[in-house]
Amino acid sequence: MRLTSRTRNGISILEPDGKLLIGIGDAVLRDAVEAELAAGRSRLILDLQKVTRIDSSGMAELVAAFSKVKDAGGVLKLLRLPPRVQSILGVTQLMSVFDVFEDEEEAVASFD
Amino acid sequence: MARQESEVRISIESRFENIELIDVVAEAALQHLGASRETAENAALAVREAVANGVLHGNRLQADRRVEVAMELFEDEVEITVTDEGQGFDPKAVPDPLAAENLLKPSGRGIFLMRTLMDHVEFSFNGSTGRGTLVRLRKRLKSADETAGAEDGG
Repeated sequence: MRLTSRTRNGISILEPDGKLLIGIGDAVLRDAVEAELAAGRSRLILDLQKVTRIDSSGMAELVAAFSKVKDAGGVLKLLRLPPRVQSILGVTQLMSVFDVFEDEEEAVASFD
Repeated sequence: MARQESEVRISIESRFENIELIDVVAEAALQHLGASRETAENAALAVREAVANGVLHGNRLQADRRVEVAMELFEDEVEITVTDEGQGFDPKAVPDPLAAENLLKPSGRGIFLMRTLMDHVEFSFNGSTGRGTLVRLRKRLKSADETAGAEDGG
């Protein structure tokens, strides 16, 4: 899995591209979130539109990222969930944990 | 369960990369065996979770310990068994990942996903043979309504 990051209005937008699975994308996401926090950036959006697969380990990384950011005094929100990812997060009731947006403008504005 | 149509068996060493291999093979094999794309995707994810548990928790990433996967297609359902060589575990001791106090815990969703995605999930253990946990997963290939509709239509 590849991951790109950019900043908009002081908010870090992380965009993983590929599979978020055990031993494949989970460590990439973990390292990226930790790097943002280490740099003092704790307002994060995870744009998941290019995530093609997720399993329980991928979900665990999303939950861990959410908790780490929160513990650092920040907020992590999700953007553009593919149907398959939304379905899996739904059955595990994680949709109730995250703020989820379909539109980047709205997601960025929600931090104001 | 009706007459057996086809069977695929795979044996892997307990390595991370083999979890992905089984996932890919399971989805392709199940579609080849006649399962719909959705059924194949869901079953492959359930198989992935069972294999990941076997590789990590059962065999503890000891490469010389194997995980065996068997996929059998019957007329009306698919049955997949995943067997590791570990010590076994108590499924009842796995916390409910939907409980409010567990929602933010990183672990515990694998078995829940298996139970959600499949029609039947059972665990059995046989330490005396050195074969640790056997997970049996079943998924109907068509719902009762779809089957009735197909029969009505000839």
